[in-house]
Amino acid sequence: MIGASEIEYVENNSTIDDIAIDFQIPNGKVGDRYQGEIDLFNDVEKIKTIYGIGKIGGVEFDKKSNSIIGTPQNAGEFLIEFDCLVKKKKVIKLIVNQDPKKLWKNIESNQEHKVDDDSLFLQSPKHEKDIVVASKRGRSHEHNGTQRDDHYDVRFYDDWFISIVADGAGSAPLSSLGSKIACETAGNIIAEALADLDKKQSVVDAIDEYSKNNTNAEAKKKLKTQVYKIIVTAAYEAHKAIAMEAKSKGEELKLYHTTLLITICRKINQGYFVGGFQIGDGISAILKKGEPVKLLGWPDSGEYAGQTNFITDARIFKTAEALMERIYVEYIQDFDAIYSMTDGISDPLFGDEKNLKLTEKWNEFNNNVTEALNLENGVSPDKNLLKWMEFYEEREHDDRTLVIIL
Amino acid sequence: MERRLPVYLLLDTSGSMSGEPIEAVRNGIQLLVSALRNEPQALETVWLSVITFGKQTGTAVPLTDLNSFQEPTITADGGTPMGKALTELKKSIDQNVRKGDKEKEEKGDWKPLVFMLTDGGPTDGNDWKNASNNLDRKRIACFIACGTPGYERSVLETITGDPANVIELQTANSDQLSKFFKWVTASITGSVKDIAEGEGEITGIGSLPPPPGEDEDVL
Repeated sequence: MIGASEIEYVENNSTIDDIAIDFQIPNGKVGDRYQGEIDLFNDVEKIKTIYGIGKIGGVEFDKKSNSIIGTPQNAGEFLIEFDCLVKKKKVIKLIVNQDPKKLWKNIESNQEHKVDDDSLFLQSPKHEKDIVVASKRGRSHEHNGTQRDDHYDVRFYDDWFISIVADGAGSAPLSSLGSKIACETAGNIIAEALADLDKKQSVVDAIDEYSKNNTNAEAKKKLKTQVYKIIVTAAYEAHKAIAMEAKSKGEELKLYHTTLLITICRKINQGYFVGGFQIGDGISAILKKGEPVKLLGWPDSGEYAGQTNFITDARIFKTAEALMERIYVEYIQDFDAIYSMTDGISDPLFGDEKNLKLTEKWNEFNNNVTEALNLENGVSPDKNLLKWMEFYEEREHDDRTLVIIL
Repeated sequence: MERRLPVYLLLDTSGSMSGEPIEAVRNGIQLLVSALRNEPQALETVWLSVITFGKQTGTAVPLTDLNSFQEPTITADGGTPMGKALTELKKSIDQNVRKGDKEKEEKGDWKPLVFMLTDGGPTDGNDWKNASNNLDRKRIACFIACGTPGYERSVLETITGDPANVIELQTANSDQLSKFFKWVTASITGSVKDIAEGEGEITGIGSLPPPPGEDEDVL
C-alpha cells in the first residue's frame, strides 16, 4: 500500500493528445457504481497529488485498494494524473579486498640448522671499523613455516675482517644446511690460511706492493694470485665440505645448492686492502661518499631460465682463469662502508642488475641503511638493521642478509 | 617484471547443467576466488579468466587479477560448442599471456593452467577437433579436463593431449563439484608456492595434489 499521508487534489487541463498514458482502467457509466483498480503502483512510495478526478464527479481514489471508486456523474474521456514518489530500490555490490600485508602468516620453523632471524654487532678496540650483520627469514618462509636459507659468517681474525654471505637456493630442500656449511667452512679456512705465517706474509707483501702503485698491472696480478690462494681455496673447501655431507647422507649435491660471497679486508699503510669473490647472485661493494662505488664482484645470472650459479656446482671450479676473473682487489685510503648482501636485499633495493653500477643508487642505499642502523636509540645497530629488514614490498619475499663493515 | 600465473576456467554451461550443477559451478567459482584471495602469494601472482561454452559461449571474464575479479553471471542453456571455447582460449593466450624475450632478458608470464569442466560431448561437429589441433599446448603448463556423467573421455583426452589429465566425477551434484573446485584451488595454490620457492612452473598433473575421485580424503 502506498504511503498514507494527505493527497492533494487538483484540477487538470491535460488532453489526451498531449500526454502519454500509462494505464487505462475499465470503462464506467454515468450513474452506475464503479470500481476500477490501477495496477501501476508497485514502485510507488507515495502519491503526492492527483489531478483531474474532480471533473468526473462522484468518484474518489481509494488508497487501500489502489482503485477509483464511486458513481460517476459526468460522461467523457478523463485523464487522471498521479504525481508520485517512486520507491524503486537499486542494489549495488561492493567487494572490498583485504590488505595483503595482513594475510601473511609467521610460523616458526623447526630451526633445525639455524635460528629464523639472526644478527650480530662485532666491535673490536683493535680495529677502527665495526661489523654489523643481520640475516632475516623471508616472508615466504615465514608463511610456510620453513627455514631461512641465507647464512653468514663474519669475524675479525688478527688484523683482518672476514665476511662470508650465502644464499641457499629456494628449490633445493637442503640448501639451508648448504649455506651454513659453506659459510662456516670458508670462514675457518680463511682464518687458517691467515694463521699460516708464510701465506700471510706473501699476501701482505703483495698488498704492500700494490698499495704503493695500484696502476701496476704486475703488482695487481701478483696480489690477485695471493688472494686466490686464500679465497678460492676457502670456496673450494666449502664445496668439498658440502659434498662430503651429501655423500654421508646419501643425498645429491644439488639439493644443497647455495651461492657464496667472500670479502676480506685489512688495514695497511694508512689505507685498506679489500678483496672480493662471488659465486651466484647478490653483490658486494665499497662505498665512499663523493667517490664512485667500487664493486667487489658481479652477480651470476645463469641461463635465461633465471637460475644463478652455485658453489655446489663442480663446473665452477673447472678452470683457474675463470676463477681468477671472480677475484676483485682494491686498495683505498678509507671507506664509509663495505657492503655484502644476498639478492633478498639487492633485488628490492636496486631492482635491475644494471642499477648496481650506479653510484647514486648506492648512495641512496647507503642513506637508507645508515638511517636504519639508528632506527631506535639505545638499541644495538644489528637489531635495528634486522627490524629494517621487515620492510614490505610486493613480490619481494626472499630471505634478506646484509653485512656492513663501517 | 611481474610474472603472472594465468589460470583459465573453461566451463560447460549447456542446458544439461541447469539446476544443481550450474549452481554448484557458481558457488565453486565464488569459493575458489575467495580462497585464493586469502593466499598472499596467490594474490600477487594469479590472474583468472572464465570462458563458458553453452548458449552463451565466449569469455565471461577476461584475464583479471584477483583483486579486480568479479564473478560472472552464469546461466545454463543450449548445446556444447567446445570448439568455440578452445578457440577463445587460444585467442586469449595469444593476446594476453606475455612471452619471454631472451634478448631483452625479459622472462614473460608463467605458462597458464587450464581447468575444463563438462557434462557432455561436443555439439559443434568437428569444430572442437580443429580448435584442439590449433591449440599450442607448448604454451600451456597443464591442461586438465574434468567430466561428469555424459562426457566423452576420448574427446577430453584429445583436447588435453594426455589421458592422465582427464579426471571424472561420479555425479554432477553440488558435493562432487564442490570437491572439484576445492581441488582446482589447491592445485593453483600449490603451483603458486612452487613458483615462489623457485621450483618453476608445474609441468603436469603429477605435480598437483591427487584429484577428487581418486582419493576421497584429499582435502
